[in-house]
Amino acid sequence: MRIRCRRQRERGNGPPRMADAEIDALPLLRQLLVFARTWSCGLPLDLDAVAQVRNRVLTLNHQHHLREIPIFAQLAREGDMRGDDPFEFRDRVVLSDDWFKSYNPEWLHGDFASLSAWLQSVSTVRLPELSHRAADLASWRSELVQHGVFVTISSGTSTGQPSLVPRDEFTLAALRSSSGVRFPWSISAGEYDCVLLTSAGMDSGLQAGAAGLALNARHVHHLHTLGVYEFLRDAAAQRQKVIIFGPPSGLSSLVDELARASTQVELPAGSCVVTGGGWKHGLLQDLDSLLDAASTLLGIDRRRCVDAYSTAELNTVFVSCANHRYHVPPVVEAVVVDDLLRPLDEDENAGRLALFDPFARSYPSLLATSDYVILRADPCPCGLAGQTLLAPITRLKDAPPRGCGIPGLREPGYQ
Amino acid sequence: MNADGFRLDHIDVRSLAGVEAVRLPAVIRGRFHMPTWPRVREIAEAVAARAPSVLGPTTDGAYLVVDPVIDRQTLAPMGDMRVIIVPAPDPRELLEPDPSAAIIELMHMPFDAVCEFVDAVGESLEARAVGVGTAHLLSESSRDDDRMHRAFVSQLPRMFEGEALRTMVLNELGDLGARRLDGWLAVAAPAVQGISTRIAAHTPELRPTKASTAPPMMRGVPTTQLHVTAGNMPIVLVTSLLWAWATKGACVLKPAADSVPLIAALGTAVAEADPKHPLARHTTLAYWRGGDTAIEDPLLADGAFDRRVVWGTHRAVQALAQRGGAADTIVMRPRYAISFVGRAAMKHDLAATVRLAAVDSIVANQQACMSSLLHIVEGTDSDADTYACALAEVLGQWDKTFPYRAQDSVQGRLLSLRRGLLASGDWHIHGSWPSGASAVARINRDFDLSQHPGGRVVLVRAVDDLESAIAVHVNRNVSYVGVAPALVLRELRDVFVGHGVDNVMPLGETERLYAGRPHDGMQVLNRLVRWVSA
Repeated sequence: MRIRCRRQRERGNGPPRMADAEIDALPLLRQLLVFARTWSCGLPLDLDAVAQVRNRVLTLNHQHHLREIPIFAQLAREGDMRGDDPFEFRDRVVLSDDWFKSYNPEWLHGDFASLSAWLQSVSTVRLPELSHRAADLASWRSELVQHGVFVTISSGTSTGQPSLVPRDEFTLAALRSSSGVRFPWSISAGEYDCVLLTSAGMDSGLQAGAAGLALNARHVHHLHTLGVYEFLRDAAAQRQKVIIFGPPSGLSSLVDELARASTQVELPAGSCVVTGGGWKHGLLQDLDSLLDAASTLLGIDRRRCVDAYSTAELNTVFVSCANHRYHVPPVVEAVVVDDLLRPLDEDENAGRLALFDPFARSYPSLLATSDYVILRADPCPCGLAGQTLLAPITRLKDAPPRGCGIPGLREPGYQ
Repeated sequence: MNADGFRLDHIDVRSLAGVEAVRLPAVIRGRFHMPTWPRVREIAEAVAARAPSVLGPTTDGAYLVVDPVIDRQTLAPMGDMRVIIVPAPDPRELLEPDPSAAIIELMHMPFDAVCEFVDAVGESLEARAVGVGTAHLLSESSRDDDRMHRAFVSQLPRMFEGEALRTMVLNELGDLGARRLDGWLAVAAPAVQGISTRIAAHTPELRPTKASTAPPMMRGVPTTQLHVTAGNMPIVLVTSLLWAWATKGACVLKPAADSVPLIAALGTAVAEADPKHPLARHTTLAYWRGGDTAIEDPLLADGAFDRRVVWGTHRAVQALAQRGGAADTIVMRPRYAISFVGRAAMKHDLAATVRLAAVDSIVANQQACMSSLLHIVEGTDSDADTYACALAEVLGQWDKTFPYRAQDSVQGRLLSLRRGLLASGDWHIHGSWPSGASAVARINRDFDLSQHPGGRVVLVRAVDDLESAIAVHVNRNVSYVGVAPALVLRELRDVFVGHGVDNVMPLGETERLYAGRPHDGMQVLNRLVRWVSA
């Protein structure tokens, strides 16, 4: 990722200027990128040193957000922060991931002026006076892109209301590069073909990741177009490595098609399958079985058939390993929070996952997900250092399920 | 289980595994059944998580109801835990051994005897049966101020009044229906014979030698009843019990975990009133852990009970209501209330209006179907802002006068709303919110009120016009609306009920009751009685 200095406008008046915090944070963020890349290649890394840099950036971010997001500053005051502990914000102002749904859903039907105003109230992005000729969400987002604001949309299928996550250029660049995380067996740019199991577009984080992969691919095939089997067969014939990327539901469709084919495709060593974006109930297989099937049908090393965890707000991915653990890059910190959104002691490692992401520049960096995890700090047998989350990662009790359109019960226990 | 006696003034309390353990009975067809003391290991296991829970059945057939002990001043957990031990009932013992004999006995009991019995129970509760012990057990794990508990305990005996019960029956079933509970009464309408009878009458070779001249008769017959009651308010158990007795039912009532201490008080009162009374001998009060299939499968089997009353969450209702074949199941599903505040009311007297509105939102700390979660304010955004500020002040006064502290899980959900979905609203927060304080959130977005966790957080929205707002905000999940001013209530009450509201009340009076009022849109007594013809 190249972080380019770009001027940001002050709200309303005057020429744009760069905040001091951003100038301080940029070299630190570059350091974190290098750390992420080093770590994901399995190379030795001083995790304490990484943590120091990460925490410094989180502190700078926090100060930046306090200045630029009045609602956030108000929450910090309500959190009764005394200000004498630079890290007390970790205990006091972890937000809910519904922060990005705090707009009036009626605005999606045409009131983009209000939606723009809301966007600026929950983030540091600033917009000039827009024409607001946008007729729908897609055109509104396109209009914002012209002003350096990139809005990622979650699927929103669980509650019907999508999360709208506003990213400035820095934050978008981080997302596209997964904040420097690479698979240890990453294929160099231009040396792979790509099968994308996502639909086209940049709406979601998954699609943004897919777009990033597609940029560096020789040839790209989208699952929703005909001929995926032929595409894979041709790649195999040419001994061309292939990256297959997208949601488990897409992989399931692909596996079904491959299973019906008369001749098996044998992709060359170095090919891989990466799923992400959540699991859909009602599919016949569990994720492990699905990845097993993909490995068998495509001749891909099972260790290169992995799932990646991420969220709409997170700018990196946690890739699973053969030991059923999702690896947290040390540039991000995972914590488990209690009912009151306070990080728990290290001894307590099961509960609601919260993520401290220093690459979240344009919005508050401390976010509680709606996922229930078991967080581990012990070394993983695969050898990759740092925190891990045990598979499977599930939804919180009473949280709406992720994935595609699953109605969920939300009721507390019946006693 | 042991069929031992029980004394309310001598509740069995021990210290086991470092926690206070209290042994309380079930009442099975009028007789106390005490649990066996569990093993120390089981107590230790039950409290290990330091959180409200229910463990069991234990090795010796008991449930352990675990709660944190709450400091009565701060309403915060003290760090200690308390365990109430109750017997895990044998479901076969909960079923009437001879349902027909029970029904016939209850059927022949005059309604006057029901009223006398209820009076006697009330007198016993008044005299001593509620007891310091019961009140202490109810409050010890409660996050409500002790005055709320004292108010409930002092009100409890007065709920058992024979004349009030009679009024309830008369109001709901009418004079004729009430008299039919005691015997066969002729039906005013003439009998109409069926086709076969009329053909026979006109066919000489088929005509009966003697025509029937018996007039049609009808009466109400008691039923066997299962009541599974909710945990949001202990009054729910009492309400269900009174319904059962008003209809002379042979009843089994399951309280929620929070209301278990009431079994002891009610059982004692019944035993002191008249243990041989038919209602006493056909009333069971027993706790089991909801979802325990070993107990619920026999109780929910087809034909086990004539009638079932289910109060509770969606999960409880779904778990229970879908089982049991053709049994008539009366469902009290989770619902909530909304307040509608007209422009005129605020203009006339804003201070008085917010005081009334606050009362409706304080009810059961927003855990009851009559608790108002959302105040719809007719006016501009500025009007709603002013209203929200004024309401917040009054709620702050409630916090000082009647403190309340929500459970951590409720606090957490409120905090998630503040820092998530409702972050863009204008929040008026008091003191240590969400711990022990209320809040008002002025919002301009839709919010699914079924996701509101309660806990004294009132949402305020501005609308241009109250009548138009009904279609937007009211549906069948809204049980109550409180409305001001009175003129608006009269003008819009048909519209409210047309949209599914069951109770259209003056602002500030959602807690108002009268004997025999419908519940959740139903005349429950009518449903609990089996109406038969002869």
